[in-house]
Amino acid sequence: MIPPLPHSLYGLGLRRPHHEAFLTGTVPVDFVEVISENFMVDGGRPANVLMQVRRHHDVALHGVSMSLGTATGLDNAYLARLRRLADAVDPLWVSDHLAWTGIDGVNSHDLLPLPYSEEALAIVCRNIDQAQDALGRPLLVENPSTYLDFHASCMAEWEFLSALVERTGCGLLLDVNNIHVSAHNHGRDPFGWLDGIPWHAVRQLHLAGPSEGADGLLIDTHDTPVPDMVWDLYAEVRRRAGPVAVMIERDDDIPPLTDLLAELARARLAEPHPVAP
Amino acid sequence: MTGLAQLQRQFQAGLMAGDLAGLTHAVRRPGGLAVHCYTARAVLVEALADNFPKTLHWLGGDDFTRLALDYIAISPSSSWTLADYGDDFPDYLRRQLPDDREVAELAALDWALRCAFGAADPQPAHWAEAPGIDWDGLRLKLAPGASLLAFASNADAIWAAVPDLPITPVATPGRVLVWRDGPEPRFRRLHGAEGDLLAAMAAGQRFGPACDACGADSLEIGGWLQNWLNAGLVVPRG
Repeated sequence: MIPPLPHSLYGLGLRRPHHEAFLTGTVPVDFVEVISENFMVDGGRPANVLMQVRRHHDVALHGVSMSLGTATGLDNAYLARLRRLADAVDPLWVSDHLAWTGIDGVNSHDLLPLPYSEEALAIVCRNIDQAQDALGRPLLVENPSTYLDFHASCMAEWEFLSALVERTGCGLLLDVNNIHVSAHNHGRDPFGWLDGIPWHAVRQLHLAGPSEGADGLLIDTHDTPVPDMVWDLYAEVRRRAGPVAVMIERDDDIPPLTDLLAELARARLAEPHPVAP
Repeated sequence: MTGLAQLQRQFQAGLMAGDLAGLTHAVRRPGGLAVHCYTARAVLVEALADNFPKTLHWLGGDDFTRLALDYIAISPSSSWTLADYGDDFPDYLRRQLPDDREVAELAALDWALRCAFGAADPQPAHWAEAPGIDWDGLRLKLAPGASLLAFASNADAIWAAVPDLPITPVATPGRVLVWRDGPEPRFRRLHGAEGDLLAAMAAGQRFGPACDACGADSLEIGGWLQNWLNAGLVVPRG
């Protein structure tokens, strides 16, 4: 498992409108998170930007296409390419989602839900083992936003995540917005969900904002400011978690950097493990 | 086959067909199926819009989206990145719009520029300075990220004009070279023998016979070659 952090870190996603600012090395963050697949390229500006930003900041690699839930196993070519990127960047860690994106060589590019069944648990554990072996480092697994659940599920999401941690040694990336979205969509208590989480394994937090969809569902769009409900949940998460890396995850309708830094400043206010100056 | 594999294949087939009703019995909140049905298609349409920006401008949003949705239904993504999605979209447009050749050619140019953007960085042509090179027998190829497109239309002029300037598609046969200059993808139309020579070498011909066949004089060819080497456009085969 990834060792505990000595103190909390605060960061932002590295998004294209802010590349120039991050290249100056003056943005007041402890780390940046990048979408791994955007940088799994042979060359050109993206690769160049990432390696320049890396001189100034720690980097977390966050993937969207590992497809940890695919029943037929992971794509070895994908893992090898991600390993090359990780070896070049020397990231804080590599993370991806508790989801599947496709099977039989097809990629939907959507984070699709899994039944929380014993069969799925065995498959995801096997896939995490495969990924950790191929990458030569432990993974962080992120809780998903879900819009449906399967009759085949026989355990709660937090039970599933806990079992992953116990069986594979992976860590957890808790997306606080996803906790909110899934709880809303399934009529569950988000604070109750926190009771089952193995907090010793939590290394990173995402903060984001959802949008309202049809049928009263909340959709994980990452295109709005962090809403009050997520801030409330975040405050409780910080009371329970040890030092973690916290980031504002904005993927669409990207606002000026100052807006995101203001949200990050608010996130710092909940720091329960202050470091002496 | 495991139960999960069966479920995932059924789910994926439903996504591609745009209809997940067959999974209603398997879930507690069927309304959530529509979210995935919508998202999977919207993500791919958005990816095509990103990868073919000038084609989108030229066709207009409604026609582009209609063609994109038809393409998505028969061409699922097989890559880990959306940046790779649409490699045969230009061919699809050529088949769908045979009388509007500029559309497929515009898409081919969009795609070539996209590929150049993330290609391996051009390398200095130190190999060309080695003594004793058998230039006549040398086989060259285009460097990664460079491509040579055969056009029947003025798609390159259309690319440069839209969305700001009015332009009419006209027959303009020729070749367009795409490469990356530092971080910037670029293109230019090749005139006459330079295009013939580069096409011959891209097809695997030896440099000497290709030069003889193109009809240009050695001074002119020397100038082209110097430009190609300076830009890291050509590399030896093998």
